[in-house]
Amino acid sequence: MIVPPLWKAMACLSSLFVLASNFAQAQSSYPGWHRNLEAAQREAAKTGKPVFVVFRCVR
Amino acid sequence: MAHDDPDIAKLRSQFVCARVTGLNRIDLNRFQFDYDTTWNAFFLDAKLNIYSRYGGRDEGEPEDRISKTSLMQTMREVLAAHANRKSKPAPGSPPVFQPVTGKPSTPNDIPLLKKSHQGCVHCHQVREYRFLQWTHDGQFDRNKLFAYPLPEGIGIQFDRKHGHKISTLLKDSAATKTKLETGDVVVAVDDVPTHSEYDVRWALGRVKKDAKSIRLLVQRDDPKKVVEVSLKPTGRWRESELGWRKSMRSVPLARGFSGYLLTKSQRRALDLSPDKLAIKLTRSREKGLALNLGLKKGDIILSLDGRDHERWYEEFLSDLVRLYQPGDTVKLTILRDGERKKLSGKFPKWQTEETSVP
Repeated sequence: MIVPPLWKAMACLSSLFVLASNFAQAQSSYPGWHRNLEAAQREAAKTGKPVFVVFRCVR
Repeated sequence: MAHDDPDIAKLRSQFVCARVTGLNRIDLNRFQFDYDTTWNAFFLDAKLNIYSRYGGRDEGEPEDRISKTSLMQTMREVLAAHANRKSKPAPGSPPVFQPVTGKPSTPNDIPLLKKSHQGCVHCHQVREYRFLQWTHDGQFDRNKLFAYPLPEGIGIQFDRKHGHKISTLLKDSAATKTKLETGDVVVAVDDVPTHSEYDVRWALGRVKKDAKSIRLLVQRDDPKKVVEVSLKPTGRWRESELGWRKSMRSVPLARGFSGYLLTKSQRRALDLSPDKLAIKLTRSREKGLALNLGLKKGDIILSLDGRDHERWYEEFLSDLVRLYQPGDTVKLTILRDGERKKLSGKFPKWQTEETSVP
């Protein structure tokens, strides 16, 4: 059996952890909502839909 | 509500949605809203032309001036406007988009903010840094405090469920002297198309200081029929309560004191009415209004120019800036060492030593 070097295993695990936490964050926050105007503009230009922007100031 | 409600979700699916939580790179010239409020919405096309804005509050509960049904009404109207945006508008009908004038401007274009602030720029900080910047540049005037006038100032109350349909014309107001009727839907104020109460408030805020009249377009009965009404605003129509605003702390009033409203039991213990004004000063410095009036630490303010109804400290400050302008004489009744005294002194000129906002 080939055992990967420890640093490779750690790097893989870290990447998985980052991916998982990003996914969880995207799911738990506001699915279907862009987080920046530019992305919303691009999608609006592509789909022909109007844009609904919420400014939510979290103090 | 905008995220979770199933009825709104159905309408929302016809929009591209974005949620922005900081103003750092936002064009404040385009995205003008009441920066003391924590939730604001805009409806735009892909080029960021503005159909409508939605939100706004007053001294009541944060959601008193918004509702699920009025948000849905605005969304439906925006969808209709978006669908018809390329059609030729009927003569006399309001424009499709709201005006945007001037160059793009971000928070970093406010020199004091750029110099003093790091990290996420919160909405209220924009308004507060503007107050400081205007004051340091000698450009502050009290009209800047009242940027989003309430429709009640011109005598109109809107149906909360609709948003911009008139439910009441206030007695003896500017509105009752016009052809306006209850049930009219305000579809434009001057050159601003309106799909919400917030649109009306933004448009009223743009009315020039010396304007003799405000032009309203209203829909009555037939949705295609638009009636034009000219309204002459009177008195201090722009002004409303400021005490709820976080930015109140950065209003450049050199007060020279701070204090708090005594609790009801504290008032009773001093043989004062539990329902009347009693602001105890916790600090008084030899400067500003405190100096002009001769206020001392421990003084209890019992009335302001004869007004003695119960007010929180922030509301009391709001009354000060609403009642007086620099140079006016401020009159107080105070309690000092068990004795009532009358004090008077000049309201100071607008000034502040602050250069940053917490």
